[in-house]
Amino acid sequence: MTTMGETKQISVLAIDDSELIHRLLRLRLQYEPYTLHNANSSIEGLRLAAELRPDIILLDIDMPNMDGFELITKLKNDPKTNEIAVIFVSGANDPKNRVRGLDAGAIDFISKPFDIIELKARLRSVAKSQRMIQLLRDQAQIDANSGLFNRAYFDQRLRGEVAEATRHDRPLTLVLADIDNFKETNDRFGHLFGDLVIERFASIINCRRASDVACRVGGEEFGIILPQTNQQDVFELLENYRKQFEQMEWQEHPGLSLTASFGVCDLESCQTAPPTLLTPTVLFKGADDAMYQAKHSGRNKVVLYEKKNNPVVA
Amino acid sequence: MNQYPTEPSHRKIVSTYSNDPEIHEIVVDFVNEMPKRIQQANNAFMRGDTLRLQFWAHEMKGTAGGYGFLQISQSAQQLEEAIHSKQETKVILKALLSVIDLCGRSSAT
Repeated sequence: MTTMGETKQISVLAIDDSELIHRLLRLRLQYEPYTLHNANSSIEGLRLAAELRPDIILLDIDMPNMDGFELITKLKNDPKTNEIAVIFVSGANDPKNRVRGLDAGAIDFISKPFDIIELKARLRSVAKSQRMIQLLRDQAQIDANSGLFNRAYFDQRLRGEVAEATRHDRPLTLVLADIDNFKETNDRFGHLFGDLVIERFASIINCRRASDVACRVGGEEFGIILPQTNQQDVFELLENYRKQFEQMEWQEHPGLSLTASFGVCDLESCQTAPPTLLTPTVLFKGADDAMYQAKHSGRNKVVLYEKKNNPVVA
Repeated sequence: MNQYPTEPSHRKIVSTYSNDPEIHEIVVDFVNEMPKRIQQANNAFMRGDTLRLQFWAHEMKGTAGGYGFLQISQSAQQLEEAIHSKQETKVILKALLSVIDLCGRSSAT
């Protein structure tokens, strides 16, 4: 699925047990702005839907093992796939099937044999709706001041990333950052300047890998979720952020130097013996402890979390 | 039931996409594979495998039109309906022969 700020080609997954239909779609859609994927059975389709998370699924009804109705029910019940727009493309054309398909959550129903001009037009229409829905969703999740994702998105994303990382035994790191003495800066130079500070700090922490997710989690607090990353791996990067911010020149107030503190924790570091189920709260608390350690040891620091509440200060 | 009883049985049925270069190649493949498909339908009928025959008719209904043979799709739909509504064997056979006749006369150009 498209994420904030990305513009990517719409991806379409065709699930049909007829190779003749796949051949036709491949050629008919070859010059259209879609990335087309094929699944030759409902089982393969379900797997690819979760793996690829396409924007649109073209779904047949009559398939062995699992029909299109059962498949769409599974798709709509899975948080990973329930936002995918499903268009039934089926020869089972009687009104009962159409109503059943739409009631199950399909966005449209195209009869086989399909007219290719109509199919293309309907795909365009659904793709346009999907883009608009994504835009609205993004806007509802973006903090207007910093341009980063907001707290609601952060909570939701952190839950998802922790579940994903624990399921596949992959590393995951959370960074919490806090602008030092922000209240005093605000009181002294005014809220407009405070907003500018937030904006500039956000621009520093939001410029790494596409898979990293930077969010504003509170007034002057920020969270960065880094999938597939251990806490040691981000130390230099955060040191770089810290220095950039410290050395930033403020034309509005020459000579002013602002700083920030960073607390870092990864899943491995907050695991206990014997191992327990790791939750977003545990990871958040680890990063929060490390961040407060940075604050209490003089601020303007990057601190990695260590077990037994003994963070390593840099 | 044959909807096209007056169609001269020797006349070829040309794909409505015969001049469409985008899919010309797969229309040729589709037509070339017709003898094999006709054989599959015959075998299913001879074995009394109505489920397979119904599946065959369903796929033919869904695909032939996309390759420019709407007439075959419509005829296959009649076969599918005859099987689905458990018509007598002679009715199903008549519908099958009608589809097979059309399939056999399909042509890419």
